[in-house]
Order: sequence, then C-alpha cells, then structure tokens
Amino acid sequence: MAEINHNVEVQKSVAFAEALDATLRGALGSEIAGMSVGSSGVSVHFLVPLGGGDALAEQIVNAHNSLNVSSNQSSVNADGNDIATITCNDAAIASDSDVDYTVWLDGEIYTETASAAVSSGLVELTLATEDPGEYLIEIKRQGEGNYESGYVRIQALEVS
Amino acid sequence: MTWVEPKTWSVDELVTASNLNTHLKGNLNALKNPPTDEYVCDESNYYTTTSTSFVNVDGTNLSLTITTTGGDVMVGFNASFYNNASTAIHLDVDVDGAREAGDDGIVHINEPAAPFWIPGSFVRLITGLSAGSHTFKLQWKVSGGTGYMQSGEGTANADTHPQFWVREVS
Repeated sequence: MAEINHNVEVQKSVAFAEALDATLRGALGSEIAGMSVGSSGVSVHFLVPLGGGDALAEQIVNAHNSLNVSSNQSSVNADGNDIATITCNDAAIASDSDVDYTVWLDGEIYTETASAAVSSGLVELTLATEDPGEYLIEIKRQGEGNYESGYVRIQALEVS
Repeated sequence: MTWVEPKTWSVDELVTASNLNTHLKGNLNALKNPPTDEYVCDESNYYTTTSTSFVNVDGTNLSLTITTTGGDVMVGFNASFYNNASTAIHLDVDVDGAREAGDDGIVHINEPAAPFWIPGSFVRLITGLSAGSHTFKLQWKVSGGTGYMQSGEGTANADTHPQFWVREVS
C-alpha cells in the first residue's frame, strides 16, 4: 500500500472538496493520494518526495474559490422553466476568452466540464432544470497556471 | 500520582505512613485516575478526505498523548460517516508514528447507497507499549470518492460530536 511521503498544509476555507480534489488530481496526477479538509485547513497528501508539486498544490488551493461568482436566484422551481442566471465578473478573467464550468448536483457531476465565452471580463450562464436538489456551479479558468475558481449554490425545489 | 510496583512486605516489618501513602494510597489513586486523554469534536466544518492512503483526520485535535507506566492502552472512537461515491472509508490509529492495524486498518465502513450517514466506531486494546509518553492519532482513507465525517459543525440533523479517547488500562 502506498504511504504518504509528506503533506502540504494550506490555511484555506474550501467551498467544495470534490471540485478542489478534481483540480489537484488534474494537475498533480499520481503524485498525490488526495486531500483532506480539517480544522487547520487543507492538507494535500503527497506520495512522492518533496518537489515542484508542493508549490503547485499550494497555488491551486489558494486559487480555490477566488473568483466572484453569483446568481440572481438562490433557488428555482425544478419545472424546466424557472431560470437562474449565474454571473462571474472578475478582474482575474478580464484577459480570458473562455472559462470552464461544471455543474454539480448533490455532490456529483451533473454537467461535464464545458467552456463558456468571456466578454470584457464577464461570463453569464443559465440554469433551468427539472431535477430537484442542490446544484453547485463551478467556474474555473482554463490553461496551465490558471487555477482560479469560483462557486455558487442554487437549490432546485420540487414542483408538485 | 503514578503507579509504582507494590512493595513486598516482610514479617514483623514496621508499617510506616510513607509506605502506606506510596504503596496503598498512591496506587489506589493511580488506579482511580489512570493516564487518559480525550477530544470531543466541535468544529466549524465536516472533516473530509479524498486520500486513498492513510492520513491524519486532524493532526492537532485528534492527536492524543499520555504518559503510561508500561501497561496496555485502550483506544476508542465513534463518529458518523458518509462517502459521496458509496465506497469505503477505513479507520486506523497511528501510535508513535506507526499504524496500529496496518493494511486496511481497524474498521471498514461502506455505505449501501448515497447519501446516508452511517456510524463507524471501534475500541482497540494496544499492547506492548513501553513506559513513557505515547501519541495516538486517528487516521482514515477512502477507496474512492470523498469521505465525510460529522464534527459537531452545526448542520441541522448532522450536528453530532465524535469522541476520540485513550486510557491506560493495566
């Protein structure tokens, strides 16, 4: 069984562990066994000796939930017609032409990562659904070195 | 007062206050108050991990140290767990830097289907420890997905308070 070689600790509040874990694994692959969130912040668990991955892990964790993402509605009716508009207007994406977004429903990926066009530092998405539950919309910058992400939660209420 | 090896008394030996205080009163007090440490979680967020190798749940708070007289130590833990991928959560205890059970740990917790919180607990007798200071850390790993542990974080209907404890028992 692989044993942990060392941990990188970062004082950071985590909005969504699954999303941060996916970003860390995408960048660091088999170098890590995963990550944990506890009372002292985030710990990234490395299987390999100290190396360049440590600084990258720290960068990714610090960039987590740093984009300003908002929604015009905190809840929608899950009738397919009630539409929430999600907005990210942040200086960090002012020079980006695209950002990635992923929609999570009750902790599992609902819409695979897709891209959305950015115009003058602003990106808008819409969410309408017939599936009730708690949605989390993740917006993340694209490209190596761009790990900033932002999140907003929306409740989709069952319609009787 | 720590435990001392009881004196062997001789025929016609004078019973002194010093000997009574050391070997009777002192040892009874030691038995009444054995080396013990415990922590009850009352945190601000769930504990989570995605690690597929054993790691500390909380290297600061769920890390207990006692100074023993060389006896066996009993360790206990209880909490509620959830894995968003319905895969396993494993628990073990690190004793002075080495995992007690090894392999896949002491307990395997597996949800039938998400999202259900299920209890996970163990009581373990740890033998073979020398007299002196020993540190016990709760560790966990997942076989996939993200493991969650309630920590008294205030979520409605999930605001439970796990306890981790150690006590020398012999």
